[in-house]
Amino acid sequence: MHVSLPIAGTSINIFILLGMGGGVGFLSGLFGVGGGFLMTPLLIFVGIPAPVAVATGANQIVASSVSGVLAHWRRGNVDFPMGLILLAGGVVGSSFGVWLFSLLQQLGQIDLVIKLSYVVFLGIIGGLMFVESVGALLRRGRAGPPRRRQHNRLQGLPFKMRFRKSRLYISALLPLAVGFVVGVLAAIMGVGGGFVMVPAMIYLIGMPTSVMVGTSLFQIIFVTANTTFLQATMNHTVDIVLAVILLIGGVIGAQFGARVGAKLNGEQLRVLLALMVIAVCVKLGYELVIPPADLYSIHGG
Amino acid sequence: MRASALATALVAFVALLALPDQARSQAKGEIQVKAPAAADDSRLIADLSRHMVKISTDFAGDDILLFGAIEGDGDVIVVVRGPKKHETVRRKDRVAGIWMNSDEVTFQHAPTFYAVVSAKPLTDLLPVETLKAYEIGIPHLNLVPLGDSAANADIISFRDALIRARSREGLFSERHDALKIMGRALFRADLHFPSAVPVGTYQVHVYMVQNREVINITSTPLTVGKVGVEAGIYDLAQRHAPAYGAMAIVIAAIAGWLASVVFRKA
Repeated sequence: MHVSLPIAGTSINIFILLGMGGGVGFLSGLFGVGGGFLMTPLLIFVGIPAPVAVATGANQIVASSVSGVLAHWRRGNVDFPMGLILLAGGVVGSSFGVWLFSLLQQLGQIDLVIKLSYVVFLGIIGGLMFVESVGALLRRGRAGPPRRRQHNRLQGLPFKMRFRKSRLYISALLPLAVGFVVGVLAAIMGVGGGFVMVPAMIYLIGMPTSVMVGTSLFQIIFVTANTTFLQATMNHTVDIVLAVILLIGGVIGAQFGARVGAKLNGEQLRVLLALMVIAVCVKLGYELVIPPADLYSIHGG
Repeated sequence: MRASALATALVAFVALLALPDQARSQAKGEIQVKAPAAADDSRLIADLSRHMVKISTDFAGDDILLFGAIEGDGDVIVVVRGPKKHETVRRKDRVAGIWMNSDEVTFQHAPTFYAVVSAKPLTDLLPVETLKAYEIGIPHLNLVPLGDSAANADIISFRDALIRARSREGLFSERHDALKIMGRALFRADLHFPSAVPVGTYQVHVYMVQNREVINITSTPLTVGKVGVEAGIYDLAQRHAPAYGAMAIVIAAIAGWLASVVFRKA
């Protein structure tokens, strides 16, 4: 059964889209990540124009992060002051990102920038995660996890603030900058940015893991909402029909994923996730290097 | 029913003939070439089974029947022309090992849809100069590069690339077997519109050909438009973008909240 997508301008089998939503939802439930970094490349792969895939991906992440943050909020795992500062940076960053997106679209380089961003960030994150999780697997049973909270020079910048939930007294400029960078990425890559935000929270800001995911999700809601709104008004690239179909699949998939994930071992899960991130990175990178099937393209591709 | 439609078309056609030359070429929309004077024995009428391609949520392409009659000996060529717009074609080059877009050429008023249907290969029916003058046939389309990009030396490869890209999506086509002439008087052609068909006003031109000359032309409009939910969403996204963006966020937020409620109970 085909469904015609009003903004993407193509018609695609609805079961393929439901399956993709379900599959990515399953993985996001399993690994506890948003899954935007998988969804956007998949959408491009099945023939959705890259700008629509990115904008619609941001819209879908609004939903998954709302449901995620509610669960964390009930357990008191959201550091709101920290979230608001990350958010302030994020709103500026995502606005700048959408403007940059529009500019790159006119220059005809948006596809390249989207793919390059994916290759670079997925490569870094996937590589670090793989090394860290394999290390943890090998260390298991010996010593406890290494202590991650260390002080660095960035935390000592001016405008120091106290964050009670995170048990930190650091410069507000640091989360502001992290929020900005993640906001730009969210707009350009159509992701929530959790996979960049989470390592930055641990290694740069020094937040405890307990409040990390909830706080990250809290600010992702607003950053992706801002991205969705700006993409819709500036670039007309948000496809509501596509977003709703992906949502339905995603919500159901996430439930199953979370249940399966609860039965599996944490380090093994992280190795699997790292391998998946690296696989997506290698595939996208390979496509940039091999000669394209047709050197010429229209639609800014 | 069909006879009366043909009669109506005939009346409209006669009325068109009565117009002065300039007005006639305007009434026919995009034809720039002066229409040939029709001889008395070369009547041509044609109409479509429907004048609207409706894109609804389950749209996966559409077929429309063109039918008509000719009086006297001759062949028929049908050309469907979609709305025109500027189109930029980009070429990738290898920069530091990575394939990225470098050169670009923008074509002015390039058709977004173009289909030719005939019973025989075009060059069997008309000389190349005539095909070029009327822009009949994909190789004879007049694609004009915009401003600076005209300086580019290999404009032809960009032109070919535009045609290739459109053909891949089924938006440019040429078929020499989809038109049937029956009993030397009636003809019918199946016009196919793929799922990616752009919205807008189309013109269907029917050329009557005799002795390697165009002896008569008639045209009829066709609208491709989104209908129902599809049209509502598209319209909202284009004309009320802020409201549409807000709606997208609210829908996603409600869906997320619902999911969390369901999840907690499960």
